[in-house]
Amino acid sequence: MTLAIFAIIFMFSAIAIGRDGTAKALIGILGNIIVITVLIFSIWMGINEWLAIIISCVLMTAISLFYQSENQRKNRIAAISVLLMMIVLAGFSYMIISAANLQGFPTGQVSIRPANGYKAEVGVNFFALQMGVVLIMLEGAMVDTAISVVSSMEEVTRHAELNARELFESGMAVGRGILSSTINTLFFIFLGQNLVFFIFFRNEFTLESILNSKILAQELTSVLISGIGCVLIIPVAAFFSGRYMNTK
Amino acid sequence: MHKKIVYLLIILISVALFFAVYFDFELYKTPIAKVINVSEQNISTGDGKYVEQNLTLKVVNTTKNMGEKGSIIKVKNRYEIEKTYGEEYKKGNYLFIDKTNQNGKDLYSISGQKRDYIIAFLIIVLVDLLLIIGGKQGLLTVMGILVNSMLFIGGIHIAGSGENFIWFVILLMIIFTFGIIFLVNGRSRESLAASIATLLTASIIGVLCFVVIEFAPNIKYEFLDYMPEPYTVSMANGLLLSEMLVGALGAVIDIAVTIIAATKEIVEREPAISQVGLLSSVRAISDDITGLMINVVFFTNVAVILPVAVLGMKNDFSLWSVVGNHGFFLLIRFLVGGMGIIAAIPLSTYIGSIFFKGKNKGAIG
Repeated sequence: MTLAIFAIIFMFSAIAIGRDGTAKALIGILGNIIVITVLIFSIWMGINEWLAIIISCVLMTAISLFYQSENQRKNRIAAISVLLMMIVLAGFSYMIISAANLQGFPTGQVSIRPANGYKAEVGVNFFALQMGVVLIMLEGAMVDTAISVVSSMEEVTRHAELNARELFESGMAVGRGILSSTINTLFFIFLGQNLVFFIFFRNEFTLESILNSKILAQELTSVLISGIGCVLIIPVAAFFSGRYMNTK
Repeated sequence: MHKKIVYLLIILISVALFFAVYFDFELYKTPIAKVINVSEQNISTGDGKYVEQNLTLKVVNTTKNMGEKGSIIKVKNRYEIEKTYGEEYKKGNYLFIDKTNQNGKDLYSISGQKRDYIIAFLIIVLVDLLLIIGGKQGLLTVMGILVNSMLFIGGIHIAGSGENFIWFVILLMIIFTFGIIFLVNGRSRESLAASIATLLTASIIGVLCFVVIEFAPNIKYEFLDYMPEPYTVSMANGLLLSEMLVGALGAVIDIAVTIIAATKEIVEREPAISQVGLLSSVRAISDDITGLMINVVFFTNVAVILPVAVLGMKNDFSLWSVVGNHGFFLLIRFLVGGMGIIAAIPLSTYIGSIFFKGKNKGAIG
C-alpha cells in the first residue's frame, strides 16, 4: 500500500517533469523488473542458475541501452564495452566472492533463518545467486558511464575531425568529468542501504567483528566492484569509440 | 617520466598497505588460525544433508585465552550443499576461533572468517584506479569519500543510539552536500546554487516521505534487518526516513550540479528567457541523464532481492509476500531516489534562475 503510494507519486512526477527520454527510461525499468521477475521464477523452477543469470544480464544491458537511445552505432559500442567488462569483472568477482565466502545469508540477518521457515535445503546454488546480485549491480552502474562517454564522443566527432588517439583522449576527459558523480551516487546508496545496520553494529558489536562480518563484506564488495567497473569502463568505452568513430 | 614515478609510488604504497592488513593478526584480541588442511565428508542427519569439514588450523596470533601462536588445533565445520547459511573453508583462509572449556576439556569453534584483507584489497584497487584513470578529479573524489566516511563513522559513534537519529542525519546531509559540491566543483556561485538546490530538493522529498510514512498503514519493521531492539514506531520511522534521504542524496547532487551548470549557460546566452522557456530547455537537456541515473538507482538498490526471493519462494512463500516484506525497503529506497532525481530538475532550474538572472540584471544595471 505504502509502496503503491510512492510508486504512483514517482511515476506521475516523472511523466509530468520528464520528457520522452524519461518516459522511455520508465518503460526500460519496467522491462528490467520483468526480466528480474522471470529470472527469479526460472531459478525457482530449476533452470540452471548460471545460465539464467547470464541471459538476464545480457537482456538487461540490451534493455537499458536501447531504451536510452535509438542510435545503433552508439548502442553497439556501449554494449560491446559493457559486455566485455562484465566478462572480465565476473571472473574477478568470482574470485572475491569465493575467497570471502560471501554467498548465502549471514547469521545476523534474523528475519531469514531456518526457524522462520526459510529452510536451507532448496537445491539452489546460492554462490551463483550472489554472483547474480553483483553482476546486476555492476551492469546498472556501467551502462550509465558507458553511454555517457560514447554519447559525448559522438557529439565530438560531429564537430571535429579527430583520429583514434585524439578521440580516445577526449573520451577519457569526458569520463573523468562524470566519474566523481557516479562514485558519489554509489557511495550514498551504500550508506542509505546500510544505515540501520551501522547503528545496530555500533550498539552491539566491536570494531573487529564489524570489519570482518559477512553482511558488511557482502554489501561493500558489491558496491566496490560496481565502482571499479565504473572507472574501468571509461578507457574501454573511449577505446572502442575511438576505433569505430574516428573520421580520419 | 614524472607521471610514471607517481604511478609506481601509488602501486608500491598499495601493495604495502594490502600486506599490512593481510598480516594484521596481532592487532586482534580474538584468536586467529590459518586453515592448513581440509578433509570433507558428506553426512546426512535427520534434518538434511551436509558436508562436514575436518579442519586443521594453525594459530597465527598470540592472545590471552589461546596463548602463544603456532599451536595446531582441529575444528569441525559443516555447510549445506547449497551454502545457504554455511560456509566452505579452503586452505589458506583465516578463521576467528572461540575457545570454551567444558568439563576440563578445551573446545574450539569457528566464530567467523577474516575478511578485512579482502575488503582492503577492493578499496585499494578502486582508489588506485580512481587516481590513475581519474587524475585530479579522481583524487578529489577519493578525498571527498574519505572525509565523508570519517564524518559518517564519527557521527554514528557520537549520535547513533537510534533515537532522534533523523536530526543528526539532516545535519550530516548539509555538511555532505556543501562538502562534495565545493570540493569537486570549486568555490563559485554555481557551487552555492547547486548546494542550495540539492538541500531544497532533499527537504521537499523528506517532508513528502515523512507524511507518507506517518500516515501509512503499519510498515513491517520486523523485516528491516539489523533494526536495533527494542524500537518504537517513531524511532523506526525516523531511521527509515534517514535511509531514504541519504540513499537519494548522491543522485540529487549529481542532477543539481548538471542542471545548475546548464541553467547558467542558457541564462548567460539568452538573458531575457522566460521562466517557462528556461524550464523547457532544461528539461530537454536533463532528459538523457535522468533516465540513466534512475537506472543506476534501480539496479543498485533492487539487485539484492534475488537470493531472498528465490529462497522464500522455494520455501513456499509467494513472490508477492517476499517483495512486500523484504523487498519493501529496497523498492522504497529506489522510488525515493527516483523521486529525488525528478524533483531536482525543476527545483534546480528555479534556484539557478534566481542566482544567475539576478546577477545578470545587476551587471547590466
